[in-house]
Amino acid sequence: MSLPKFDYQAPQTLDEAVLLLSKAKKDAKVIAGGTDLVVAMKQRRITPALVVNIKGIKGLEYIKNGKGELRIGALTPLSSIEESELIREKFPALAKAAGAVGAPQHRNAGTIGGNICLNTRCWYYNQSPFFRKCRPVCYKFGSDKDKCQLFPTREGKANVCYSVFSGDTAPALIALGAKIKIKGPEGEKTIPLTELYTGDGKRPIALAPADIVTEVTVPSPPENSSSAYMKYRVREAIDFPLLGVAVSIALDAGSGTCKNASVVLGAVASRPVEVTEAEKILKGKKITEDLIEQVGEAAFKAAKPLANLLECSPQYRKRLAKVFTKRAIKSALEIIKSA
Amino acid sequence: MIKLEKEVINVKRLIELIVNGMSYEIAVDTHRTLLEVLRDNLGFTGTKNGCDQGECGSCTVLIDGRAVHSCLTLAMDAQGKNIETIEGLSEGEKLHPIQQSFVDHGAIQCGFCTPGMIMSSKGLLDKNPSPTEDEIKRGISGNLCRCTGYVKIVDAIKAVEGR
Repeated sequence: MSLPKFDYQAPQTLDEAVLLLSKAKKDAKVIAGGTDLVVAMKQRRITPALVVNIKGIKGLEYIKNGKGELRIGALTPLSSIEESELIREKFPALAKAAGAVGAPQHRNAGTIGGNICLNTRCWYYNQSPFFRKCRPVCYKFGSDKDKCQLFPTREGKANVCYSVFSGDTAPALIALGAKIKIKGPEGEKTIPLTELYTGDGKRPIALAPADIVTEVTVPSPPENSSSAYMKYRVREAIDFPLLGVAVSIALDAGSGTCKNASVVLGAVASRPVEVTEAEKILKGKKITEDLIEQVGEAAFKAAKPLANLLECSPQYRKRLAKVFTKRAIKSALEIIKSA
Repeated sequence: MIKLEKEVINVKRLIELIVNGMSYEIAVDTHRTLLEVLRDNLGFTGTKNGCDQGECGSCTVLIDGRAVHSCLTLAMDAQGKNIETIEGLSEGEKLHPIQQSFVDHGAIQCGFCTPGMIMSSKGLLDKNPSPTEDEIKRGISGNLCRCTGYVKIVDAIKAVEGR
């Protein structure tokens, strides 16, 4: 499969890149690692007129620790995050999630900025032109007149795209309370990572056409805290997640009660799903087997997978959300205990 | 209906690729992948074209020492970087220790995955000269082999001389 033709620019500075994108408006795409975009272009899902390669911009590839937060440049390869001693020790969920993305080749090329801006996936969407030509046009690919192929007969209701957000690092980063820095034509802004996701499968990432994610910042974890990430997929490598669970827990040093808890599910909706119940259940209490069971139940209720990833049934993924949440909490608690 | 191609004015660009230490100056279309340029323009057909979507790993090359899929890398993006392909490993008739080990252990059957498998192994061994079995399995987890069942490949990488 060859790529569709496009114009190519490789700006040397961020300002130049933003200018190029804002001039080109809708038809331009940013490329860094290219592991997501190149496949989409080969399958003719995305056919931009202009591709702007931001890999040449200096000073966006770093992992820095200081002032109570960890700063990661958007162009940092996932393999550097996976291998960083600092991240492995202090942010185990992030290291685990970065190491769970695709294959080693994907992690060497793919960047953290690209992984959080990953396009959503669906069995009806991520297909070759030939496959799509044999079927009605899917809503994510087509216009408002086209039906979501998951519910092709549903009449009288507004069209909704149910494609799945399949990034690994985003749930882990949200559980750790990450923020991202975005550079756009109007200047720089910092938003919590969770605001990057619209929840709408057709347009999952809330970035304007000329916006570029430049940095991810994660607050340093307090004493007596830890995090964990668990991913389910059919093969142990290459595959996208069928379920991802990120957990971060902080305990009170003296009493051992839970100070903070956050559970985030990946690959069960068009955005990472925060299980808000989890914090209510655990906060201020000593974590017991019974409470972990309750959090698992809350994760089960929050997970709403559909039959658009075909490797296993949505029922199985929903039930697995409970099991993985419980296991992730236990593994985070174990790390705190052993420290 | 599905719109497959868009009209874009396209001009070839002159780029410099450094493959196996040799510099090549060629004119390429901006939409060519590194794999296409290596195979079609430069004749490095040792790098194989399998799935073309970054699933099988047979197109693996090393860029600045890191194993990446050349089918997912734009040729434009690889300019000026140090690209290593399977052709750069042996010195004339003398095989690279990884290649020799693959031959000795019968880690090659049909041979299609081998160039990618060896480049992935090289990327791994350059960084970590004495990996454990788990590390080896993780290192080659992006490469599919349908013949050997991986056991002999893992044995071959474990036994690479000069580790």
